[in-house]
Amino acid sequence: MRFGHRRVVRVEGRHVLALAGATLVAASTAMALGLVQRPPAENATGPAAIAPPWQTGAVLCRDDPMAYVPHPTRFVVLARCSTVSGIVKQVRRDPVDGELNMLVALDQPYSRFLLYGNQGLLRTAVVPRDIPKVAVPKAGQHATFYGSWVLDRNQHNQAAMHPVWKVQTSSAAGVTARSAVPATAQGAARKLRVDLEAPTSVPIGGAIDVLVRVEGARRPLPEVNLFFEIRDEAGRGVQWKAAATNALGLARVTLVALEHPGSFRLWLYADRQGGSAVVSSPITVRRR
Amino acid sequence: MRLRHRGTRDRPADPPGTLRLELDLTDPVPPTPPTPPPAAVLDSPPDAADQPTAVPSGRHLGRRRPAQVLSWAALAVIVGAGGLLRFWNLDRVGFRGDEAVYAGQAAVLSGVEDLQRWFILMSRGNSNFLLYQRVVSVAYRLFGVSDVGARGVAAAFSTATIVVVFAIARTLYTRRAALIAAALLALSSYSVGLARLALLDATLTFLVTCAMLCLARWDRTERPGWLYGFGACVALAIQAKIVGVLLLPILATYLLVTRRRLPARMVGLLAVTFLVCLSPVLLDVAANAREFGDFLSRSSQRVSHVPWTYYPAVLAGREGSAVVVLWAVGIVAALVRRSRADALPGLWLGVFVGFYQLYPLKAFNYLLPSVPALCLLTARAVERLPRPSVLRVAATAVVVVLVAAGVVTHQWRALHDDSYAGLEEASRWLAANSPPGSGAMTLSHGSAQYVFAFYAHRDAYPFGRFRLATVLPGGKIVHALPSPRGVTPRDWVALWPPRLLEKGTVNYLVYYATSTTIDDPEEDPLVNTSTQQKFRDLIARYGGQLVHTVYVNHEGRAWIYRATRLRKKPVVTHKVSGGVVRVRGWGFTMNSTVKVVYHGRRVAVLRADDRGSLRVRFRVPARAQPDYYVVLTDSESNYASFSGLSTPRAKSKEGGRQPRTP
Repeated sequence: MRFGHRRVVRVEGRHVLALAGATLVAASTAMALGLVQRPPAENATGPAAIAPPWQTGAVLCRDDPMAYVPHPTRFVVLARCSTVSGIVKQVRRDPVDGELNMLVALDQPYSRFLLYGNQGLLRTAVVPRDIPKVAVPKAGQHATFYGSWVLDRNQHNQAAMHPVWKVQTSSAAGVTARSAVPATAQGAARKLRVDLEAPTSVPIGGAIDVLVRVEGARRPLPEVNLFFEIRDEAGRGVQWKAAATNALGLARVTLVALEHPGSFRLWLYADRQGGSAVVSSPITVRRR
Repeated sequence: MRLRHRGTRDRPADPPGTLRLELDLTDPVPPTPPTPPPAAVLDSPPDAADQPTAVPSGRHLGRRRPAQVLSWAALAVIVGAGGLLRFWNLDRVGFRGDEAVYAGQAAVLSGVEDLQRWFILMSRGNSNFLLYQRVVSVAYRLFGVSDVGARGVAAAFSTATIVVVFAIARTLYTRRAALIAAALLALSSYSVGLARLALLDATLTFLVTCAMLCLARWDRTERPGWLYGFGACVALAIQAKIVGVLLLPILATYLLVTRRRLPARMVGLLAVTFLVCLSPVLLDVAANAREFGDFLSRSSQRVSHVPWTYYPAVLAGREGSAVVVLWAVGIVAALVRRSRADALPGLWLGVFVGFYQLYPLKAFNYLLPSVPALCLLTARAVERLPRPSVLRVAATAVVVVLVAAGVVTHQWRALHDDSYAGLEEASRWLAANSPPGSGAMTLSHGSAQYVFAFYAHRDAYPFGRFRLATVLPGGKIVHALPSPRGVTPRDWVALWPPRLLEKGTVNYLVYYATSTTIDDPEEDPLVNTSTQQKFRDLIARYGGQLVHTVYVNHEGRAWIYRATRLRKKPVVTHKVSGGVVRVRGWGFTMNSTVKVVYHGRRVAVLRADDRGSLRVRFRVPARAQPDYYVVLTDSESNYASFSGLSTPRAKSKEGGRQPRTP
């Protein structure tokens, strides 16, 4: 730091005023640029450098793909709509969040989009609401996936396709065409009978005790996958929970109404290999 | 380069061996034309009232007296206004977590033995020793333990800082600049907001400001007593918060920049003063070296995942953009002016802001020690507004409007900050309605649970992700386990909460919402973060029964749940002997009626005890089949089941002890 440097520094009022103006402009610009969070870059096809492109024709691109994703803040959307293909390595239903997770070894054109943390495999997930509509492939099958390309913040920012809302299976080496028939699609016509008992009004913070009975062919169905979702008036999901029916075809779930007072709707998605159902019930969260 | 000191005529002769550097902001003296005026003249207004105090002039004493009186009166008004803002309605909202820790430590120091179970006389982090707590303990001895007492001490330190800032500006600049600096600090919403909290920052800021006053006075008067005073202030600042050690690099840099050398004797006395004043800390560290080292090494790994714009955003949010811009003008003006008088506040600001910007752990309160320096530089710039009357009035009006825009709205926010409203009320409810041996758990970044210990005298535990040791009731210290990839440990989300609930150590779960989640329901739901969601899940899993809601301004702010189960799901074991089935179960709803059904037929009804456990025996039903289930269901529909029974004739072995839940 040097002072003076053998010259007079005469600071006058106009200098201060000029400085004030310049600083005001600079600070405002900096704040506008630096302090306002820019939304992640995204468009229908996604930036070519960081996400695979969208293949049109098979299914429509969704305007808001995160609308029915539980806990959407765990993802950073890189491309709203993307398409990849590869060999399915694993298919697993997550009992905690109710999602259907698939690990996929991507075909060569898409593998460059994977990140170091992916370790060569892409995790794709179908949200409970879409599971009855998606043809679920089996391990070893080759399939094409349509969904959103995201970074998963809970998985050390791995690249992932979440959610997937369309899967097209195709035969691959060592896999017969018969095994490619989607299990869920086979019984899509079968309906489950679901009774949902839930309170219509709870005080803020109170418990929402939900009782579910599921029957199929007039007898209780055990091990039915249940997914509860509470959505607000604007249609935004605020609470999620996964469960399964017991041996008597019953499930009792407790949710906690820690929500701002208002009107909500409890949605229940039930699916079991061969059938599915969706029911809902209104809930009002009141002040006292 | 020659840097000439303003007050050279008052300076005593140099001792042998001293290197003196003179600051000179003037051009070199040419033979002709006449020498330009010295920097002191350039930097100072022509009127005598604005002359720095270090250069007293007997000729102006007569004219200065009324100005001095006016100046003191103005200062009194400023300090009064600043004090009013800092002290007004201090007990409006109860303590937040860190405040409760400091107040609890102070209460222990003042002799309140009850609180020794929850508060240890040591910092869990790397930030502080106990100077502030000792001062508060004196207040507690005089007036009793309260939240107002602890906050009053912080407010008093903050108010006193206004006077010290005035004195610094009076030493470095002019009386007008001093009044402006004092006013800026008195009305700083950021300072007011932090002065109203029982945190360490107001005390640290006062001591840092005192240290800088000593340095400025020593620079002007050359009296070594001021330098020794600086050493004492640094030692005290370190005892308030360890970051006070940054004053030492400020001194070193200042000596380097001004090319001063200290005589060995002066350095020795400075070191002695420093060490003597620091001796309580040294003794404390020596006595607890292992714990201090442990705390320091672990807590220094804490990291805040925030963007680099965090601090500008904090200042803009708490002071208003207008005031931040005004501060920026002060900094830029100082950089352009490059006056020696600005060197001290500049270094002060640079060292503190630079350190915190680089330090990976960030918090909203860390920048407080920098605010007096900002006020000094800004006052210096404002003081030098245009002389022509019209321009001056216009410029003054602009400045006043800018400051007012920042002050009014943000001051209102500072005075009405209710971020943690509801915690005190929840604590007091627990104190009145829960058994003395019960325990509570609440959302925490490491400290919120101590609010319950302070107000309710109940064992309290955190729920959250943080890298900070937790003092369990009784004084046992639990460190967070090392986590893979350096992520924030999840001990107090995944590991400890279920254990404590299952042992029955925690009986109450308290969820609270900060004001930020109340302000805009559309954007900020009550449950937003992953940790909040997991706490809500914990409430549901352990049968949390809502027993009380704290409302603030008709909005729910805290919810108290009583756990009705000790396990997420009930479990049972069974044993068959002599045709009798003996069943033991755990984790049912406490004191609930439990029905035992075998293949659709009720075989027993009983009541779970107050821990949700049960024992029941019944005869093996006739025509029992191994694939028929025995299902035990409590009043809340929680159930556990097992199978494998067969008729007595089969003389079955003991049933599997593995609990089964279909």
